[in-house]
Amino acid sequence: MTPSLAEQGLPGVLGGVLTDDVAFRAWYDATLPRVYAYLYHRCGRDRALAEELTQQTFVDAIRTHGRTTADDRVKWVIGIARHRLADHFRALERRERSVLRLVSDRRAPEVTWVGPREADDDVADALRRLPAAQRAALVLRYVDDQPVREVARLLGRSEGAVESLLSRGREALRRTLGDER
Amino acid sequence: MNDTQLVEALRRLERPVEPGASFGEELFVKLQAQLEPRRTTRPIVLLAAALLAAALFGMAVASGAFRESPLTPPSYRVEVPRGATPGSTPGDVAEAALALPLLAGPEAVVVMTWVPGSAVFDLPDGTAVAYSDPFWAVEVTTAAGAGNLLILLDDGSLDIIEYLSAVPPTAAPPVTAAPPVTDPAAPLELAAADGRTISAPVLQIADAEALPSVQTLLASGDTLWAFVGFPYREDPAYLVRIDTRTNAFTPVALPGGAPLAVTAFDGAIWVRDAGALLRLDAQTGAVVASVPVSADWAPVGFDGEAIWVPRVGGIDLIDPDTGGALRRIDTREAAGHPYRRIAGPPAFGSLWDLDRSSGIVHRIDPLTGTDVATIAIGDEVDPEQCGADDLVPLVGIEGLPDAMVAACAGASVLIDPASNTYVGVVQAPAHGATVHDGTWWSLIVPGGVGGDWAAPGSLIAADPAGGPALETFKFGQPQTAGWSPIVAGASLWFVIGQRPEPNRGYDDNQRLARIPLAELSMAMEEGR
Repeated sequence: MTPSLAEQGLPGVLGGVLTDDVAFRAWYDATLPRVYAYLYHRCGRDRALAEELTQQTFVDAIRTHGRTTADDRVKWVIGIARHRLADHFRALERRERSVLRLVSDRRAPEVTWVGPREADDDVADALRRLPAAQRAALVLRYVDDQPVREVARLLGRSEGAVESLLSRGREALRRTLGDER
Repeated sequence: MNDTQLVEALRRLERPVEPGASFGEELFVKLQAQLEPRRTTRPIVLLAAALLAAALFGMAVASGAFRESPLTPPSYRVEVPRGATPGSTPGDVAEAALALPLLAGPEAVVVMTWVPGSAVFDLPDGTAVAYSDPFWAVEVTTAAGAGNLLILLDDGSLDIIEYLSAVPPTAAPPVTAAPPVTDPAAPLELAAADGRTISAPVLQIADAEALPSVQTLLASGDTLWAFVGFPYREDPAYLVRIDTRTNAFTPVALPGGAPLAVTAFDGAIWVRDAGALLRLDAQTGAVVASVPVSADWAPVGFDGEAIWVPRVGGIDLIDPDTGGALRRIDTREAAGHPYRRIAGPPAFGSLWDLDRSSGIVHRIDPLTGTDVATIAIGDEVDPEQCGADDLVPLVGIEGLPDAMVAACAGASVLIDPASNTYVGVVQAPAHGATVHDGTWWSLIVPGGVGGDWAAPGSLIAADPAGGPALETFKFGQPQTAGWSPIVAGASLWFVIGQRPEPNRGYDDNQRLARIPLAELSMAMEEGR
């Protein structure tokens, strides 16, 4: 087994941030809005879910920072958030179509926000209505601009399967938007 | 809109958005505690918020309109007499409480909660509203089942700042009868590793073009119920009643759209859809009662007295006779476990939660929210591969002790609720598993149900007391997979899906396979 960075005498990606109250606060204040916004727009603009995934991301970041090094701390935390997002989509997919008799299951409800609608809310709404697998592929490939190979790795699928999901997802999204407009 | 425009629209989705201030502060404190327990300096703002909350609660109690609930604080409830006139003008908390029973039920349960930050409230019509400022929320549910009422009061003057009356579930859209049974497809071939095979008859229950998906199967005596329809879509949703003695199908239309979750208890089938909890006659499928509840995928549970209805952030208890709210429990957070999110109804008198980072199952008192036991799930599975909210009871199986089951990737962890100890691992998935006559049956779909079915799916038999799979039967057709096994009418039934070619097209899983248990037993005996 490879020794951890601490065992090698090296600092983790967060370096001295975690041992200094002021530095930790500054890092947190700068990173939180980025991580939250990243998750909020990708998980269906559901605030409760975005908060939950954000919390998981930060907890994971602190727990695992000693295992790696990275030049861009925010980018590194966003990478963790991306994994949490992929986990969420995979769980959502399983829940959408698995049997719920033995295992209890849940999914965040559809959310209708009070207040004025924003210009792209119809796109976000249409995206939220897609099956989780298609939604995951579209979000990671186009919103997140990840290459197909990385999307396949994150979702645990072949590249061919991801291409198929993207094709079906685009068609379904186009159909949904067409219905609404 | 062409592909380029579509992709551009997706790329423009992101823009800056700030989390709620209280969420940020609470998470910061949580992270500091995780980082170093000695560094627990709480921001002054939280102290001020706590003092403000305490002062407001004091005012509410002093008004005489509220009494302290034995439930999770901060929460107050009061029984409100019928007959008061609806009111929506600003007033203090006491006035608001007296104005609440506008829904005209014989009794109304009022739950008043200080909400220190942003929150989302589910409404019975399947929508939700979100607020980002501190407020008092007063929620009312009446026995009349007309809906919940939410009144928001600001944090300073206690004036009513918003007044929402939830919309009852909309009337069911007109639906047409399901198509009749079409020609049965070719038999499904299942093969063991040594070449033994089983041939299962395949029954067509609906036209795939007309109905989108079979979600799940439930059994009640000789009757099998297939739930058809995809949640949140406007397609018609059906129950299909199947007489296992004759294989005859009868479609029953569901009001209110496709089910999110289904459960059988108390001699009835309970369907949770996007706006209501429906009680169905277990023989006819007729809707005999409807209670407005929030939209959620979590199935409801029953403890003999109350229906437990999980929601985002907690669980509500509903009187099965009147539909009235009995209790509201918030379960979202827990000290020392930042991921806590309890979905399921209670089992063995407790709520259950798995912390994936530590591999610890928390057994929680539903009234106090505190741990009554913690159980390590052992090292046979990676806890990160387990579902944080995938814990369900395995109860009343002849010859087997009751167990709590944690669902992990390809495996199921058994916990003894009597001793709060880890028992072992069944090397078969928990999702959709069924246990019958001493055998645990699971189905595996390569890559998940929506996954890449380049390989055939499998039917797995295992010992429910733990251990490796006893037998694996592979589906004979490469692009075929199955799910939702259940025993009814002396047969194992499951849904099957098929793809004409790998990664091409989707059939919508409108067929059921039926294998007599005797054939399965014989095939397994031959392998021993």
